[in-house]
This record gives sequence, C-alpha cells and structure tokens, in this order.
Amino acid sequence: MAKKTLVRGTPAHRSAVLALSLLGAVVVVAAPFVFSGFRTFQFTMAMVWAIAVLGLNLLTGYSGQISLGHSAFFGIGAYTSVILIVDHDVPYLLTLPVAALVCFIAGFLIGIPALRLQGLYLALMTLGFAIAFPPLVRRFESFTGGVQGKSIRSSVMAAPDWMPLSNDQYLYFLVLVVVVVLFTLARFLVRSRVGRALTALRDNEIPATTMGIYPARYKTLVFAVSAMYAGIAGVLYAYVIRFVAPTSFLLTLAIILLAAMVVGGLATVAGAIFGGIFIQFVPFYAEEINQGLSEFVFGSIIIAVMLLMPGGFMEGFRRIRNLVVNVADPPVVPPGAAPPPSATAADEVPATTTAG
Amino acid sequence: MSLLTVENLVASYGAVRVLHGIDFAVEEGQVAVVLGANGAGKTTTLRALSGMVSCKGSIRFDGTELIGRSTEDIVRRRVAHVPQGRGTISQFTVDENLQVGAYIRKDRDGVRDDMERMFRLFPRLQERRSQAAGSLSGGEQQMLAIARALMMSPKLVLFDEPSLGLAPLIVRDLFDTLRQINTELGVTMLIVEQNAQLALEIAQQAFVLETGEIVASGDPESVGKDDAVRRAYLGH
Amino acid sequence: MERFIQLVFDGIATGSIYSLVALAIVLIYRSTGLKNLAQGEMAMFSAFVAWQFHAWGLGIWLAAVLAIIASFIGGMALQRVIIRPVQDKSLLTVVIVTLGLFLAFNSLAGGIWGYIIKAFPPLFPSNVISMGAVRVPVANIGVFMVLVVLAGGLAMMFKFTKIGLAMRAVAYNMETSKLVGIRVNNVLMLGWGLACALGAAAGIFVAPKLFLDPFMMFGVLIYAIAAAAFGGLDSPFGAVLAGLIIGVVENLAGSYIGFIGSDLKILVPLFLIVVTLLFRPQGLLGHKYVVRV
Repeated sequence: MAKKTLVRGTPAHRSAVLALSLLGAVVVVAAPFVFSGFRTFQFTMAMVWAIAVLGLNLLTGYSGQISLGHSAFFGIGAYTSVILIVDHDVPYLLTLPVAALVCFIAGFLIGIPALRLQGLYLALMTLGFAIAFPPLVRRFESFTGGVQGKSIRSSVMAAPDWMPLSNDQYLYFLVLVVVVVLFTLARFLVRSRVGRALTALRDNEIPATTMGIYPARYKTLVFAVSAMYAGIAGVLYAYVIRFVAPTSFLLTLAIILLAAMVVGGLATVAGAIFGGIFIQFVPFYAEEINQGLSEFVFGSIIIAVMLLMPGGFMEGFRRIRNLVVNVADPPVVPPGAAPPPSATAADEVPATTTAG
Repeated sequence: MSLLTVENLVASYGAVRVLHGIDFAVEEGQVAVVLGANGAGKTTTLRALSGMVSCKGSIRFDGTELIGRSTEDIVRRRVAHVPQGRGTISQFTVDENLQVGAYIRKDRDGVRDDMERMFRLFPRLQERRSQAAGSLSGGEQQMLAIARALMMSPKLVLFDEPSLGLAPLIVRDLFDTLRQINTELGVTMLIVEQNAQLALEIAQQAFVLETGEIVASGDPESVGKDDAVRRAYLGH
Repeated sequence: MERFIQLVFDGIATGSIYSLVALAIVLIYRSTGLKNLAQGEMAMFSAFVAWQFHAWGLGIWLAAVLAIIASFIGGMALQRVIIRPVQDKSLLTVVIVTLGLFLAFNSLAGGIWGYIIKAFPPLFPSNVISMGAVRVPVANIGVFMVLVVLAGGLAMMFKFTKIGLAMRAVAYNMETSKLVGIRVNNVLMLGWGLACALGAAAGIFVAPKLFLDPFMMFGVLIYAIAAAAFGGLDSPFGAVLAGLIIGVVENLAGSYIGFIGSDLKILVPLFLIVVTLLFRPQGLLGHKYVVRV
C-alpha cells in the first residue's frame, strides 16, 4: 500500500487533525470517570508538571536560555497560594492570579540580569537561586512555616456541592481548564511576532539584533512568562497536594523539569504533556524497585535522549507518524512569510566552513 | 616521484558533492598554486588533504596514503595547514602560538633555533612576543599563522587564501615572504588563492579549479596566458 | 580581635573546601572548554568510593589514593562514552547532559549507599594548635596545604608543560589544535580524567568535615561555582583566592551581620556571582580576550 501524503493546511490534513483532536478530547474528558481516584490524581499531577515543563520550554526551547531556578519559581507560586489561603483566608481560586503575578514579577527581576548574561552564566545564577530558595524558606519561619511546612485543610479544596464530581475529579477538571488556557496561550505566543523574534535570537543574536529585535527586552519578558508558568504550576501543585515544605522545591526539581522538557522535545508545545507524564509516572514505577532509582533513571534518560534522539518524544512521535503517513508543508512559501519554526536548538550542527 | 600525488579525489559535505574526482601532483621543493572562484572547491581540496572532510580517491604523500587518516596523523607526517581565518589561537601569546606549533617535535634545541629563525623572518612578531594573538593586526596574525605552521618543520604547507582580507601592500610583502621561505627553507607549498597575479609570480606549478574539477594545469606562465583564466582571475 | 582572627581562620578552612571544588571546575574548563555542572556530585561519589574501600578494610590514605585513581579512569571513560558524542553540539546540549550526570550520580550514590549520613574517617590527626585564644585544628591546616600543593601543581602544569599547553590549546581552539598535531580526543579525555581525580581529592578531603551523604556537595557546589566565576574561570589561582575570600567573608558576615546568621550565608556566594557576572564577567583574575575578526 502506498503511503499517503498529507499537505499541511489542506482540508484532508485539517480534518485528520480535527478528528484526532476530538478523539483526544473525548479520552481526556472521559479519563477521570473511567479510572480510579488515585489514577485521576496522578493524571492531575502529570498536567501540573506539564505546565511547569511548558514554561521552561518557552524559555529554553524557544529562546535558548537555561534556567535551573524553576524549582524556586514553582515553590514561590505554591507558597504564595498556601500562605494566602491558610493565613489570610483568601478564596483559593483567587490565589492563582495573585501567585502568577508574583512569579511574573520575580521572574522579571531575576530576568533582568539576562540583559547582560549569556548562556551558561544565566544557568549558574539561576542555579544559585534554586539552591538558596529552600534555606530562605526555612529562615523566614513565621511566614512560611519553616521546616515543618504548611498544609491546607482538605475541606478548603473540596468540590463545590452543585457539581456531581468527586474531589479528585473536580481537581482534575480544574487543572485541565488551566492547562488548556496556558497551552493555547503558549501556542499563540510562539507563533506570534514575539515568538519568532525569540527564535531568531536563539539561533543567532547578532543578525537578529540588526533586524531590530531587542534581545534584552524579549529575553526578560520570556523569562518572566516562563517563571509565571512555573508559578501557576506551583499553585496547582498546592491545590492538589495541599502541603508545602522547603524540601519539595530542591534543585533536583529544577533539573527534573529540565529533563522532562528534553524528553518531551525542545521547542515543542505538545511535548510538555509527555514531559509531565514522564515526571509523574517514571518515579512511581522506578521507586518500587529502589528509592534512588527514579532520579537515576531521569538522569540516564536525559543523557540517552540527548545522545540518541535530541528531538525528544516529539521527534519519536513524528518518526512513528511518518511510518503511517507523510505530512508535508505546502510546496510554495509566499514571499515575506516566516520560515516554519522547525529547527530545534538540539538540531544545531557545527557550522561547516564554506567550500572555497 | 612527486611529494604529493592526488588522484580521482572526490569530496562531499553531506549530500552535496564538492569535488568531482580531481587529479594533480606537487613536486618536492616547489610552490604550487590552485586558482579558482568562490565555491570552486579550493578550501575543500585543502581540507581533504588535511583529513578534515571525508573523501574518496587517493592522496599519496611522501610514499603513504593519507585518505582515511585522522588530521592529527596527517599533521604528524609534517603536513602543515594554514586555514582561512588565520589558524592561530587568539587567546595565546605569540610565543605560545609558536610553541604549540612545534607540538609534535621532540628536538628542543631545534625548536628553539626555529623560533629564533621565525623572529628573524618576522621581526614584528618578536616585538609582540608576549601579546595575545587576537590583539595583532590582520597582517601580523597571518604572519603568525605562517610562522606557527613552519614551526613543525613541515615538508608541505597548505595555505588557504593567505591574502584574504589584507591590504594590497601587505599582500605583496606576504608573497615575498612566502617566496623567501620556499627558497631558503626548501619547503614545498600548495597555495589556494583568488589573488591570481601575485600567486602565479611565485609559483612553479598552477592549477585552475572550477566547480570541483581541474580545468587547466601546467606552468604558471602558460596557465596565466590561458584566455579563460585571464578573463576569470586576472581581470584582463 | 581574637574572635575576628578565629573567624578568619575558620573561614579559610571552609574556603579551602570551596577552592578545591572550584579548582576542579577550572581544570575542566581550561582543558576542555566545558563547565561541568556535575563536578560536585562526581566528587561526592568519589568520596563514597573511598569510604567503601576503607570499609572493606583498607587504610584511609590507601583508600583515598585508590579512589582518586578510580576517578581518573572513570572520568576518562565518561568523557569517551557520554561527553564526546555531544562535544560539538550546542552549549544547551552539553549543559543538559552534565545535568543528567548530576542527577545520575546523586541518585546512584543514594541508591548504593543510602541517604543516612555517614562519618568519614579523618585523614589528619585530630590535634588542635593553639595560638593564644585562637585555635586551629591540624586537619584545617592539612586541607589548606593540600589545596596549595594542588593549585600550584595545576598552575605549573598549565604554564610550563607541553601537555598543559596542549590542554589550553584544545579548550580555546579545537581545529587549530588538530592542525598542530595535538590528539584532541586524547587530551579531552585526559582533561576529564584529571578533573575527576582532582574532584575526588576535593570530595575526600572535605568529607571528614561535611560528613558523607548524597547531598553533601549541594551547598559546596554553589560556593565553588561562585569561586570559579568570581576568581576567573580560566585562572587556578583566581579560583583558589576567590574560594578563600568567599569562605572568610561568609563566616564574618554570618557572625557579625545578625540578619544573615548561619542559614542565610548562602546569599553571600549568590550575591558575589551576580555582582561578578554583571560587572566583571571574566572574573577577578580571569583574562578578557579581544578578538579581531
């Protein structure tokens, strides 16, 4: 049987994408009614991680900056929410925009050095931030609850009476709504002028600058947005887990987020979902064997993916899809149109000298 | 027998074939020049000789086959390469660049003598011995790159567009120096150039490369008289 | 005054630890052009290996030497198998791979030896030398001496030996290095081996002080990175000096500035990193290179 070729943008391609999306939507909505409460909780957490991974990917995948501080932003979001709920009786839904704003501002402030720092130096600085966060939390004990942490009463997070849902199902859909909003926003962002400017900057800063793209402004902005995503994920984490402590937000969390991003696929929005599933389920199964194993598996998988499949899960997905059907871009690109954002940072090859 | 014999050399970058089976030979002690426009495959030819691009065919140097050998191995057979863009280590001082140039040599006294000789050849470098190479002017950097290559006491030096980016007066100096090195030290040279006129003056052999094929070869005078070459590379 | 001197001496002792790890970071940077974020974890792992040898009945010094040799070989193997394939890829790729190593070593140590803190046998006698009211443990002097010897040896190697020259050449410009006949891959392997051996020494000498557990290097790493950045990533002496300065400043700040206390000391290196990177990115003693293109 000859393989079919689908051209992007044609009715055939669109209806294929639509059909798959509908199927996906049905599966996602049905899942909490089919699976047990514990499974539903796991799916919810996978979505929470996916948001943080997506935030990191906006920064690293699309603008090429490396942050090791996202565990701290995640923690700031979670702590902001918990403190507002527990100590100030703020309705929990209201804490989400507040924490998002706090993290956006925190990200902006930390991102200002990004005006001047490049590549690894930003990574080093954010690494310091990630290491310093837990001791800082311990230090301001009266505010954060110190080493003991802080917990939210389960009654606060219960599903509203008028909803025919269990608490697990309620949280699942609550998180799902946020996921849909944030993923749509991210897709919009990376396809917008700003997104294209960032990709141009990542690939080559100097020419991009001459095209009138101001690196500092965009880099700081994307850092702030990225921190906001991590912070929102932190808030949702607080909703679901209802407990925060300094040890929940160690540097290892930041590295694990980075791992999940790589595994899902750099510079892909959809890959973040896979990254989230990865974070939630790999430790669950690995830790049955040995306590230390899950992180070892994480570490090994990062290395293996970088060596063998730098495009991550999304590259694998494309390879498998290409076994069934070819998807091609429309043959003619109208003049002035931007090139498709297909190249990822990991695909970069060392520049070869031009033949003389 | 020629020092360097190239037969049916084919080289490609990925799927793009750049050299389509070229043949040429360079005699010991002579200066050979390869002329050609941008994209003709000049740099690729040199990179193939140094084992920096994968290729097929045969490259016999001093009795051994070079194809399939690593760059380091080829260099250790005393083939020096001055790439485009100088090929010095810009963070190193002039002194350190010369030292690292002699990396493969074991004879310390010989190295010290050669260093003195380089400073006689290029007095400007002596003045700037302890400056970082990156802070030198373009001409000085080219001098340093040449000195660096000579420090390994090579049998063959490959020069990739040595005149590129240099002022005309400096270019003339440069070719005078190359001639001097050839006659005094007896080093065989293969020079790739766009600046045909000056290159032909110091050469004993010339080849013209066009889109990956040798289209003319012979002694510089006859090649220089060739109408096509004159139009393409000599501008008259 | 005596309290001040005591604090300075104690600061030098902790600073020596930071300097040792910073030295390993500088070594790998200078010989391969990479910054290995897993350096601290690898040092921790080596310290565990030494502990294991000792637990099997070897004398502690012999165990230490064996662990350092094992780390040297392990470092070369790591470079060969994991780093070499990504060496030419983007910075992002390399950083992510070293972070993978970070996680792997951290959890491997936890998986093998558990997360319960272990005491590491002392390498130096436990006497304390008293000078007036100032008391300096012999172990602190020992660690400091080790630091001086290693830093001096390293600086001499880079400056005066052929292999040192080759390492620097490779770190700066791989293609030119190949063109002068340096066997680049071997030099990179050697660089990783040496850095891991040095890291092992750092881990082993700090272990008696910090106690052994998989997270022992978390705190040290940030200080070491601060020291390497502050001192200049390409300068062994800069890294040592900066490590010592950070140790002393941190100790003084923790004691004299009430707000900082013992738990916010970590802000000191963080602050130093930010200030250094913003105002003197090449570091205190690092070189800034102007390259004409």
